[in-house]
Amino acid sequence: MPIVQVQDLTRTYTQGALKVEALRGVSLDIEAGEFTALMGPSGSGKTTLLNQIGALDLPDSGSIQIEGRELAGMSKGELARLRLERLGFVFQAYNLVPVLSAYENAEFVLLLQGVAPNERRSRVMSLLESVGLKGMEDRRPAELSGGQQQRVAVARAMAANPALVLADEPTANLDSKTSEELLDTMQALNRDHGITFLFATHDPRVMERARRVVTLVDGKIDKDERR
Amino acid sequence: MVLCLGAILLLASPAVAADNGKADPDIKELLDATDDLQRGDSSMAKVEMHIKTARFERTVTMTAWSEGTEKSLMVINSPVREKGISTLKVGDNIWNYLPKVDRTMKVPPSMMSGAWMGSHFSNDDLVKENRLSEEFSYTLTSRPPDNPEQAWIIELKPKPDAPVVWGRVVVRIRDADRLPIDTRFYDEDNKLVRTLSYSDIRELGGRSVPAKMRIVPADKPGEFTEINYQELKFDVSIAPSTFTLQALRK
Amino acid sequence: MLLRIAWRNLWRYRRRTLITASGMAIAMGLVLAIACMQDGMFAMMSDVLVRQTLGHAQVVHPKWPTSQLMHDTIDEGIVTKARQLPEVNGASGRMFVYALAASEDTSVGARFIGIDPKADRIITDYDQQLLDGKGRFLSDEAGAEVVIGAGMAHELSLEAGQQLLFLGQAADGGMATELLEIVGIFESGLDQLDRSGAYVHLSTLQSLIALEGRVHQIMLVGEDVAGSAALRDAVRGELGELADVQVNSWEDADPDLAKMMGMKDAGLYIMLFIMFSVAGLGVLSTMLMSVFERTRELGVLRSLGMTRLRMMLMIVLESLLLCGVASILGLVFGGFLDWLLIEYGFPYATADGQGVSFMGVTFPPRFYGMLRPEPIVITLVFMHLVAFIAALWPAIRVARLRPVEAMREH
Repeated sequence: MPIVQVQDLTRTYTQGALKVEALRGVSLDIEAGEFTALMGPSGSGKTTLLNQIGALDLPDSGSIQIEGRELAGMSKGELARLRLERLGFVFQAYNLVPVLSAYENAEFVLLLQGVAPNERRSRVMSLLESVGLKGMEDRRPAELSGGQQQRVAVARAMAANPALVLADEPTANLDSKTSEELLDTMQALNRDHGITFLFATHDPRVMERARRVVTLVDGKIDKDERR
Repeated sequence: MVLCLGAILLLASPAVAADNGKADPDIKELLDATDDLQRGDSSMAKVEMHIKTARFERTVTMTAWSEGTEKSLMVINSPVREKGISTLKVGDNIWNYLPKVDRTMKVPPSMMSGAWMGSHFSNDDLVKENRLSEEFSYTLTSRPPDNPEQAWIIELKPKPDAPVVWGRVVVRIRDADRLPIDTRFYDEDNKLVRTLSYSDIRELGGRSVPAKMRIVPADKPGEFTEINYQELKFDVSIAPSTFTLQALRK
Repeated sequence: MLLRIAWRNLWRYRRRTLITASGMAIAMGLVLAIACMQDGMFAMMSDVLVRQTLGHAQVVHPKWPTSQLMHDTIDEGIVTKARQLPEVNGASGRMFVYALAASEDTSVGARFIGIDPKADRIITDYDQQLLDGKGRFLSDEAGAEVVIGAGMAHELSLEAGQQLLFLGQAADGGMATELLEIVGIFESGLDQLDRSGAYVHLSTLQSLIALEGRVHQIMLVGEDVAGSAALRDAVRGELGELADVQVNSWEDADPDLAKMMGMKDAGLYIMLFIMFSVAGLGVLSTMLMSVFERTRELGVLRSLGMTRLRMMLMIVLESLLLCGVASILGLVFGGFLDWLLIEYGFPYATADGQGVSFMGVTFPPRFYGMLRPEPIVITLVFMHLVAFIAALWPAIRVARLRPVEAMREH
């Protein structure tokens, strides 16, 4: 069974007097272990689709199932729980809690889940190590480079052992070298741990590494290529 | 008025002779006779005053002299504690002489309504000398055959400007001897305040007068002040200096 | 965890936090200082006033408080009985008799107050009200002495050393007369007392009006004003059920005064309300600003799966922590002010350095602050309540954030 099943999804925003049809009937399945990129120009609807799948925003019509569970009809508390336990998020830059250290940021999700202290510690330490941040646990986000910050974000997304990690333009604010390093890290996690990644991006570096590229144009799937 | 100092000094004055005729007597004459029971040129009396209140009961004896309605003097004989205390009245003023401290004291206006010697008489009662007929308008409300006491019953209402505290006064005068039976005093709400009754008619100083007068306050059940004349002389000669402050202090 | 985030967020904008906290701390310090001052003043006033005018408790004939009749007396022996109780620090019988006070020429109506000077010294300070150079107070031993008010002395044209005539009615109906030597003249500041009050030795007055061994009122003094009910009950217990004896605390005797004294915290509440309404606005704006600045970050937290309740809790905690910081500063500041008030007192003397007279009682020219736990507790609770309420709006705003929109903010 696919981790994500999207069917006939539509979503229309009103921005002032303007109606924006962000999604116009999108259907998409994501299988476990995929490393998939949603591509498309600005305004094509890829971020909207990602937010829909991430249960951050609700569709106007159509259905989304995460691990077979229909999101429509879930309460806000249940959605929060789903996000907490089954989904990981990596956003553009500045998505860490500034007042918490790298360690604490990664630990945060586990704390919310109520994981025991010992397990928390070992999991966070190994995660930080796996994203290459060993020795930087106590630094605050402001004391980390952009790439390092995004690694913390990845570690945080991983911490909860999610079924799916959603990444929205994770490299948007990173230089080329740092982007490569971050993507290396994520690819390794996908390869070694079988973590499913779904990117919304127009960074060609991501496309190069993606094993499946779904292209959106004007709120519709234009191409769905597997490599 | 009625309870003047003369109340204690029943004075000779021609009591209205019993009228055998059937015609109504002159009411004014009746009233004046009652008032004048206690008036005269001069008198001397020995009096026993018995006071009973809820708190105490006591008997005071005294000797009193009077001249006309204006002047009188009373000297306490007993109890021993108060022996020699004298009260001098001249006109509207009262002085007390207090032998224990050898002082003469004028009773201040604020104390005029206070009890005299612990009795149910006030100092004011001692000085009021006006006649009932002068301060009240009167009507005869019952004639002798019409009431069991065979009395003339006269109702008095204060005249508009009269300086009296009563709202109504009822006087009963026995037809037989034309002596008063009692006088009832009502306040402005027509509530009985006190009753002054006369009894024990005796020959004193050559006159037939009530030797006993009792005043009963209506609002204090069981309390009364009773005055008994033991001796009474009329038209005695009294030295004019008797009624002076100097003599008071003798 | 939430606490940690809240605490660290608090110090993200150090200056703003400190300014807000300082504002609250100053308000709190002032409230505490005013409460301390007020409590001190009330304690002093109620002590002096209650003790001197009513005693902490009093024993009377049940009818006497309303009748004021000479005959409504109680047994003087109760004084001795009461003194044996550990709760009773002082007991003194009193007698009140209306009579004429006269000089050679004139007289006035007077209220003679029979007191036992020795026993009364523990309770009252009548002897402090004597006019300078106008003699002395009554001797401890009974005698034909009287201390009269300045108004009466003036009216009768009498001075210390001269004689005053007592003229009244004794309980047996007889006339009571006595010449009393004026040994002193007092001025209480109470007009009526100064015009008609006259102190006589209790025994002198008792024999004068033939009421030996009887008194109208027994003043009782215990440990303090507050213990009046216990004192009353102890004396009641000792005396047992006596038909013609009534034991009252001063509150029973003068409910109006008791009510007035009981209102002392009302002023505190009003002050708290005003001060912290302002402080509350400060907290509100600080928190709103803080939330507004962190919209994006809060959106991230929300999208990570933090529940709305926890988000709200986080904001409320932040506000409470801010308040906690303010409390500590406020306690230090208020404590310092309180210390000054307690240590050095607060002068309110008249220009000549004398104490102020009020209701016939002379107060010392300086009073000292008093520390009670109540104002501190009330203030702390109130402050945190304000912080809590002020945080609700920002917290609700945060709960309503939609993660997608929030994260679009920068």
